[in-house]
Parts: sequence; C-alpha cells; structure tokens
Amino acid sequence: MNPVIDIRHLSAQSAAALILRDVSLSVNAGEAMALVGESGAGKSTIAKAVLGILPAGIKVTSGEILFEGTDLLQLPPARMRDLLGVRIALIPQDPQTSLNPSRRIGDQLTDGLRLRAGLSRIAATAKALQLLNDVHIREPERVLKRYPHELSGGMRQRVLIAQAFSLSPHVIIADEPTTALDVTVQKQVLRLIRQLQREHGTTLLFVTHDLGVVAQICDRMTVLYGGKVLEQGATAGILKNPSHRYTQALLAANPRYDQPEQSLKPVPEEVIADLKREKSA
Amino acid sequence: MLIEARNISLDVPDMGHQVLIGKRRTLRILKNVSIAIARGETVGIVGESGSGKTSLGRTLLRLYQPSEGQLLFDGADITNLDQRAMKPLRRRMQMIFQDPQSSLNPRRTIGSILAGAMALHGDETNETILAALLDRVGLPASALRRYPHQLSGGQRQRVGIARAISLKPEFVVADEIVSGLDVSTQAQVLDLLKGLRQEFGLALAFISHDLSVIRHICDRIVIMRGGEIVEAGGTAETFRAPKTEFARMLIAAIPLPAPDPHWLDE
Repeated sequence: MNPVIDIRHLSAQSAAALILRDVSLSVNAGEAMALVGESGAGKSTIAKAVLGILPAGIKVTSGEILFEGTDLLQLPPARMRDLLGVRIALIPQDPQTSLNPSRRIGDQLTDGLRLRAGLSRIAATAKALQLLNDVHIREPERVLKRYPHELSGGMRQRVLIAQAFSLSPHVIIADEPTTALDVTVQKQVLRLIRQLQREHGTTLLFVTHDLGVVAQICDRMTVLYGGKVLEQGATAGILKNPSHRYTQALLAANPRYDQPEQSLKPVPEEVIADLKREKSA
Repeated sequence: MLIEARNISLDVPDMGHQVLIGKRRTLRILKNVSIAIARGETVGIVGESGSGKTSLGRTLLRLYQPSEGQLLFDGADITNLDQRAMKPLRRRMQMIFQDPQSSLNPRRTIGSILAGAMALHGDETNETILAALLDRVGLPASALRRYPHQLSGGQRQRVGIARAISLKPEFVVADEIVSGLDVSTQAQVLDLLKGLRQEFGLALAFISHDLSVIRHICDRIVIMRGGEIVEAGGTAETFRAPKTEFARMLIAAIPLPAPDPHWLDE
C-alpha cells in the first residue's frame, strides 16, 4: 500500500540546537498514527513541517516529506496554499485562540467552502449547517450566528473539527486537540474525531503526550525523544511490549487509577542520561 | 481536624449581569460545602472546570471570606478574622500554585523569591538556610542566583514547593500542581510532595482534574460539580464502587494506556 504521508530522513535545526534528527515515518491511507513524546520531543515540529508552517527560526536541513508522492518541502508557497485546508487540514490544540473572536461561527465555517470549494453563500451555509450537525452540535442554526466566546471550549473544538473536515481533506493533523478539555468532553471529542475519520477514510496524524488517548484512538504510534524516533509500530503491540527503555519508563510513569501500585514511577535518571548522551553525540 | 469548613457558601458578583441602579447580582459558586482535613491526611478535591474546586481551596486558606458557614483552623473560628488577625496564621497555611511560570516573579532571583516569603514573617534567611531549603526539594544551591525563566517547568514547580514549605506550614493547598508537567517530571514532583507530606505531617488539600493522579496521592476524595460536593469518601472505595453516576462517568472517561475497543462507544 502506498503511504499517504511518507517522511524520509527529516532533520531540522534552530540556531541553538538540532530539533529533528533523521525522522522517518509513513502513514497509510485511512490510518491513525500517533506522534507521542514529552515536551521538546519534536512531535509538534513534525506536524508543523508537514503543514509548512515551521517557525521562522527553524530550518529543515535535509530529508523529504512526501504527500501522495509529492515532496511538500519542494512545493512553491502558492501550490502549498492550495493544498492546505483542502487536502491537508489541521485540528489545532487550543480552541480558545484558533477561532477569530470578532467573526461569527457561520462566517468562519463558510470561508473555506466559498473560497476553496467555490460554493455560493446559500450552498455554503447549508453545508455548514450539515457540518455542525455531523459534529453533534444542537441547534446549529443558532450556533452559526454566535461568536466564539459565546460557546464552551468543547463546542469550539467541535466547530474546529467541523472546519477541518469541511473540504474532505485526505489528511488531518490533530495537534493535542483535547489537551485543554475536561475528560468527559475529551471523550466525546475523541469519539467524534474517530467516527468522522472512519466515515471519510481520512488519514490522521495525531500529536499527543497522552498514552491513554493514543491507546484508544490510534492504530500505530511513533515514540519521539529529543527530535529522534525511538520506536514505531502498532499501538497495541508497543503499549503491551515496549522495546525501548524510554517507552517502558514513560508507561511506568503514567499514572493509572486501575494500577495505583505499579504506575507513576519516576523515569530512572540513567534512562534520561543515556538519551541525552546519545543526543549530544 | 486541622482545617474544617462547615456548610460554607461563597457568593461572587455576577459580572455577566448588567446593572444600571442598585446592587449587582451575585452568583453562588460554592453551595453548602463541608470538608475537614486532619494533620498528615491528604484530601483530593476533584471536578471539571467551573466546578468550584479552586474556589474551595482558596476559601480554605481564607483568601476568600465565606458568605455563609463557618471555617475553623486548629479549633479556632477564622471565618471573620481581619487581615491583621489572620497574619500569624498565614505562615501555618500555604499554597502551591498551578503555574510556576506565572507565580514566580520573573525579575527576581530564586534566592530573593524564597527569602521574601520568609522575611515577611520575620524568619532569618541566609545563603545556608536557603541552600538547605533548595536541597530539600532536589535543586542545587547554584539555583539561588538563577531567574525563573532559566529553570525548566519541573524545576520551577520545585521552587514553588520550596517557597510553600519555607515557613514550615501545617496545612497546604496544592492547586493543579502537576497539570502543566510532562509525565516523567510529574512523577518526580509527586514523589517529592509525598516525602514532604510525611516529614511535616502536612494536612494537604490536593486539587486536580486528574483522577489518576488523585488515586495515587490522596487518602480521601471529594468530587465537586456546580459548586457542590456530590460525592465524598475514601479514595480506594470511591474508585472501586463510586456511589454516584457522575463519579462513575468521570472515572470511565479516563483513557487508559491499554487499547479497549469498546471504550469510545461506552
């Protein structure tokens, strides 16, 4: 099977440090792949590199990012813009800051449909209503007229999910989409993402630090530390039998309410020391 | 019981309500809440955002004055004490904040931040005392001359803990102190807190939205919703057999790091 996203030997650096080191990973059509790691692991950098929105200070030094066979790193900005939102879309982390506070939900949802899909205002509004229905928002007609601050965090995240799926992209990148939400809302949002992803056959790249979330919604996972891939494979297999010491330590550090005695163990210092030595080598 | 709240309620001005003439309406954000914590005991306060858990923590420290009910500290009624009468008690009750980034003054060194809290209560401070304090939370003495931004998130949270224990308090409120940290750092900081709790015989109110963390560190828990306590009990019993549907749902919403094909559908 041809991968939809195929990242090959990607390295990136800032003025101060190497950010990504020879990262390779591929995601097949319709699959949900998790990028897992702690802060500084490089998981968000990979997501930003795919979207072509790396911060000004970070430069890709080598490697390629193939999307359906085309190297995104070689695309002129105008061609890249044509892809974003249409073929590759983003569900951002923070529903608070990702919607324009001074525009109504309806206007923001119909932008892409009118400008990118060429729908008329009436057709775009009808589609927006259907999208809000798909993400289980009650009274969608009223929500279209609302401003972001009038909605709860969970509702805003649903709007952003509706927006991401609106142009039926082939790939959706979700960057910690439930980190800011309460657990009960998180569960609803995860269910929604998984359900829409399956219905549309969308390929999902899911950035998260939460191994619990990975376990419940991703088919495969990539474990990162210090910009390097440590381990990659089927989620069930890695979580059951992690081969890298860091992955084992991360699992043992994760608090579990069902295993109060065996979990929440601090990561042994020698594991971190080994990784740091490797990193500076 | 070292700290005890009896049927307290807390009203705040309703800023969402327009007033032209007369008094602003109030919102009741704590409703008839009772909670007691003994020395050496850790009580978890859990709930979703807006449930009133932080307001309860701050009221227990008498940072807010309850609108109704009674607040007792070490047997004395502190419900209506003024600032001056509260001052000698302040050192006996401390808070560790959620975000060490914004609760440490960015323009002062760690040494100056720690010395400030102690000087306020007339305690002697010198380099040796401060270095010993840092050592107790696992930081090197060299950190005294650092500024908060030069430390990692986990190190900053250790400074927040050092500040809280610098006055040898008896009661500590820890408000979401590990929610911004990576899991590996979280385990270390909680380990530190467990050690200090034992050493000082602390009465600890541990506020968190994370039930898994609560399960590990608390003897008892109270679950809040809409400003009320909806369930209270021993931690192990509550997890084994939650009494309310709300508690059951909260626990079931936590994703475990082991794939469960039915979890999403429940």
